[in-house]
Amino acid sequence: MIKEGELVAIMGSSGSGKSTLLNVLGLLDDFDEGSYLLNGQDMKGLSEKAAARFRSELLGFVFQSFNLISYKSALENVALPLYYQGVPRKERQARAMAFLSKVGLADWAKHLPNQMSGGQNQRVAIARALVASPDVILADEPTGALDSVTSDEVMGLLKEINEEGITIVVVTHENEIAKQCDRIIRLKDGRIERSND
Amino acid sequence: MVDRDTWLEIFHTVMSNPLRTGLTGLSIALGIFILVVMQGLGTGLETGVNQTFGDDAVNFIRVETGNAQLAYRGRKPNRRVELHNGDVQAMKTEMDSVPALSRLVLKWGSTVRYRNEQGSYGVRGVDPDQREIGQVNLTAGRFVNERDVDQNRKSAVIGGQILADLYPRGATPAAAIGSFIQVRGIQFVVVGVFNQAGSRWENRSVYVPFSTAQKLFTKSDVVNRVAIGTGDATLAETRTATSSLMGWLRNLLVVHPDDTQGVWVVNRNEQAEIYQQIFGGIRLFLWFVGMMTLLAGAMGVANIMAIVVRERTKEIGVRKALGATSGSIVAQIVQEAVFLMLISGCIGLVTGTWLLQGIVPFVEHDFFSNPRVDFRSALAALCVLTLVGVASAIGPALRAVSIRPVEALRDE
Repeated sequence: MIKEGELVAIMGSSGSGKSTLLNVLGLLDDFDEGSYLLNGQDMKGLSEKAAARFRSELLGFVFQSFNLISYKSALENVALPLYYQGVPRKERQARAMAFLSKVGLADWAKHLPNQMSGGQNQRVAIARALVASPDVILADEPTGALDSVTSDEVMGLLKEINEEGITIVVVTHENEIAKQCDRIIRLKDGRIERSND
Repeated sequence: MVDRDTWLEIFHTVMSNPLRTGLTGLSIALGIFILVVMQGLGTGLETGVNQTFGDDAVNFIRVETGNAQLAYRGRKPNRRVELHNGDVQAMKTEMDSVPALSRLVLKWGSTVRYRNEQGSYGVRGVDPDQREIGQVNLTAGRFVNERDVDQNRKSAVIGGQILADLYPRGATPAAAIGSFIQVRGIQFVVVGVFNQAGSRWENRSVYVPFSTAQKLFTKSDVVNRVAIGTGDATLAETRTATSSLMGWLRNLLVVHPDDTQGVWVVNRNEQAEIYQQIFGGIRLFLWFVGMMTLLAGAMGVANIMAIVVRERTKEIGVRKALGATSGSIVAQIVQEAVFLMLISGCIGLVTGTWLLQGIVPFVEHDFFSNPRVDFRSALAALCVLTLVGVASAIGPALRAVSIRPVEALRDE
């Protein structure tokens, strides 16, 4: 049970099922047993289309390797989720720009991912996760590819976002990162081993 | 369905890897280009040969004489065989019914002069039936008639090219009627102008009455050629008629039955049939090569599409995570393929056509003229290629969206 507005870390050694859990939470993968309620709605046996709609409206993703589209500029990357929501182009650009400013990258809007540093890329990715105003952000090793200074910046940004009321789930294997969260959920062999506050 | 945003998205993706896009496009453009050029050369050959050999009419047989090679009934070998007016008269009597018959006297390279302009053209002394047999297409005036022949009149029917060459620029066929021209130094009055579409030599000819030509130009009663219309007779009927006429002529002119050089009868019906077969064969061959080219192009495209989609597995995963449905992703990939094919196909089509247009002035030859593209077949080829492209994109695209984003987005 993750409450609204929480900042939760999921920890576990490799093979413990972190990524699988994240994918289930992100509606990127179906599950066989148990139940998953998102905003009080059952997510079991969701159709492709419905899953895509929930993803687009309720969830934002942040990945370890950023997963920006390499041939699109920062602004275009941020605007992409809105494209799939059918938001008109002008409004898309404006909203994407607003979120880029929020992560401090307004001046980098026209740059391609390979023209920016890792930290900047991750900030673009966070802006992209935020742009559709999701309720939950799922971050998979968001600092895994960053040095410690940049990691702190990114975590700081995530905490700021969390303070605005967005639920954030961070999957990580770094204690340093996990400690910054409200709560840590530890996984072992696909089961929750311990959940402490 | 395909709005501006979708277009921008497609354009963006297609342009994101210029080399890949360029190579794919090149293979398609090249396929269409080769197809277009081959088709063009094929039609060029066909048009050229038709212009050289084809008086348009094919339903007649033609009698010609030459040198007999074999000794026969006391005649020496290698002697000239000639057909005279009397022989033709006998031939007419011999044949049951003759739809149309024309004797011909031919004078190639005759000087024709109008005022200060002159040129070298073919002169043909003919009977009035030649109009029907040769399907002469008059643009003004009349053809040689019975009275011209009976009275040895100096009337001339000139080809369109002569009008264009000798008369003032822009002279209409009607304006030439009644004017006087000099044929081999003798004054004739122009009574008609004709224009034979698609035939090079016809339009450089002057028709004059048969009797006039014999009297003024050959000064003998020798007939160079006899043309006999076959009307609606079938190919088999004309064959029978040809061979029986051949036998009769050999007997009349004392030519050995095995001699092929003394007198011969050309069955234009049969010739036309042979040309049809030859060109049918060439066309078939060109289509075969064209199809193979297309097939090679299509396989290249299928291959590239498979690689492209594979390369973009991760991107597809990201798009799904951002809210794209599988359908929208497949649709996008298919649209990209169609877009790419149509653009590069058109480039191939245009450059191919452009090349054919460009070479037209330099390749005019007896057996090659006016190469052009059958636009419909080129478009059909483009459609086929596009369909293949779409079909080849759908497979990998479906496979790509069926990969769970989980796996696509893994870092390893």
